[in-house]
Amino acid sequence: MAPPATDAATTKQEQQHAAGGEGVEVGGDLRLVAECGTVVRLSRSAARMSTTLFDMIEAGCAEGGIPIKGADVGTLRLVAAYCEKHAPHYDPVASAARLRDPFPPFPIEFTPASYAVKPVTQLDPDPHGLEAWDRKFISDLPDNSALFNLIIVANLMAIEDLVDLGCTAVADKMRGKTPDEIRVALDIENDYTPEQEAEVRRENAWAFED
Amino acid sequence: MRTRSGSRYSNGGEVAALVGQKRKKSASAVAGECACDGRRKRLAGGPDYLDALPDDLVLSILTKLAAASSAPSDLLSVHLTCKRLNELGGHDMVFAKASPASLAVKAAAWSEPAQRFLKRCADAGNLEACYILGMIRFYCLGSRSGGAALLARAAVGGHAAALYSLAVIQFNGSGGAKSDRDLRAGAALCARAAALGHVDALRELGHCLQDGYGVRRDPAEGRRLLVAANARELTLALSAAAASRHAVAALPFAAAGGVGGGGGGCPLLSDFGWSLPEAEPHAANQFMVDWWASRCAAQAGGKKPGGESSGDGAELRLCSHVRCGRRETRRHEFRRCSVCGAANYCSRACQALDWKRAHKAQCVPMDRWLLAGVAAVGGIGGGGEAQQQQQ
Repeated sequence: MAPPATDAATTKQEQQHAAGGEGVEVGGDLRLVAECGTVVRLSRSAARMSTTLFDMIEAGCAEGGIPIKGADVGTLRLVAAYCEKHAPHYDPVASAARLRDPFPPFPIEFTPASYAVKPVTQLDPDPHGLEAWDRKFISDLPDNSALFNLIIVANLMAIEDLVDLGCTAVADKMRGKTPDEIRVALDIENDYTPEQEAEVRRENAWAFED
Repeated sequence: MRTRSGSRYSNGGEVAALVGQKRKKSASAVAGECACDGRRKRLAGGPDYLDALPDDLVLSILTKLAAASSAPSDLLSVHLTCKRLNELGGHDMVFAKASPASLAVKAAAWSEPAQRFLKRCADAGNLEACYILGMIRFYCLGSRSGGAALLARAAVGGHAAALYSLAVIQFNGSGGAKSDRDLRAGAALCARAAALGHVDALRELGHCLQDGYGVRRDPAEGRRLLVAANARELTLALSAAAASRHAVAALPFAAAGGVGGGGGGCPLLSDFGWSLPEAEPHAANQFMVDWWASRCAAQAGGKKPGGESSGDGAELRLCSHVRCGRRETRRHEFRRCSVCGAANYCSRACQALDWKRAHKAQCVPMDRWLLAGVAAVGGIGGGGEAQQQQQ
């Protein structure tokens, strides 16, 4: 029986004692196998951030290596680093996954009450230093291919927060630039014919008059 | 993007199969596509990162871009880059999340494509776009029912400014006759907007309560709401200043500069001699102000003889609070300052703001208005008997 992955630390030790060391995987680290066969370890608490891995743990099929098709080692290591960093402060209720797929599937509005009024002076917008770490994480990525691979692998593993982080980074690269600059920044090929381009330009000309 | 005939991964692998089952996406058709198109091998011809991303991820990227963009050009530059981004950028999901700043169409740039853009955003369910397009259609283009329908749509979605605009329309009976005024409906809409924290609506409701206009008269509650409006305005101004990282911009008035001077935005502070820089007017109001200004300039340039649809001295006046930008829809719709009779306001909130800002210095009592104006029009801020008759 796979234990619920909530108290990973204490459960790990209990299980290892109780099971008499029967399996390293029970309560141990998960092993993610990259495309080329290298294994990247990920602790259970960090794996909770990935909906896919969490479901696998719950279903009890997280023993042995978990192959991740299409992921190379560098990207997996980055993903693992992100998960390890964010795992202690991960709150499934507040995470992006809930925003993507909310229940009920319509917005519920309450009248703002007096306790909803927040103080004007910001106490500390980044209490655990996570946002600064995220910014550094993204800026440390060597090039666009690393960023896009990261998004793809995070999408595969269903880590919504990391997908959002990556998408926001790409969107930041697109914002405030002319179309030519965007093409240069993201290596996009211009497949318009001159007539089509002129037509699209005409359609959107009103936004560019300044 | 040129489509590459790269090889695809035929069997998805365990993780991907689980991904296909476990994730329930609303754009499920797109997700179905992405499972096939998703991971193509990059050929050695050159990097093609966006090609490797499935459509739903590109949509997420574009949605984030829309939500963070600060001008329409940010959002539309992407359309010019390549065909795939043009097509995906035109998806409803992206337009639905367009930020208010990216919908701020300038009056000088108004054209058919601009209107189409706003219409698409409004159809996609973007409340801010519904509001802006509704205001433009109602006041500038004269399409009363169409504009009001869009405003109603935004209001139903909970947009505070749309609720307030509808309240002003109800209070004045805009678009109809004077008998179409519905004070109670206006007060109800105002109350809803005030509950959402809209500053002008709080002020308006405060004055309505003080005068018993559309609601049961309750001066104490009205006074409380007026103070709440000031406090809310101050909160918004300070948090805006904090967010933009400026040094706290509250400046004490110079002693000589005194009471009527340069007029900061917040009445609460200005009572104590401090001022804050005035908040930016909403995009819709700015549009209307620019629109009327350009119409008047065109007319003053002698292009047309004074037509009845525009013209400031002639028939329909603008609200004298310059940042409001609303215009009357029939003669004598707006109410006059009861002291001087020269200033017209669409609502009490505009009158209260303008008093502090500019009108106090300019208001000169004219004797003849005290007799004729108050009885005829029911002036603001005076004539208690006239207002009691309206109850």
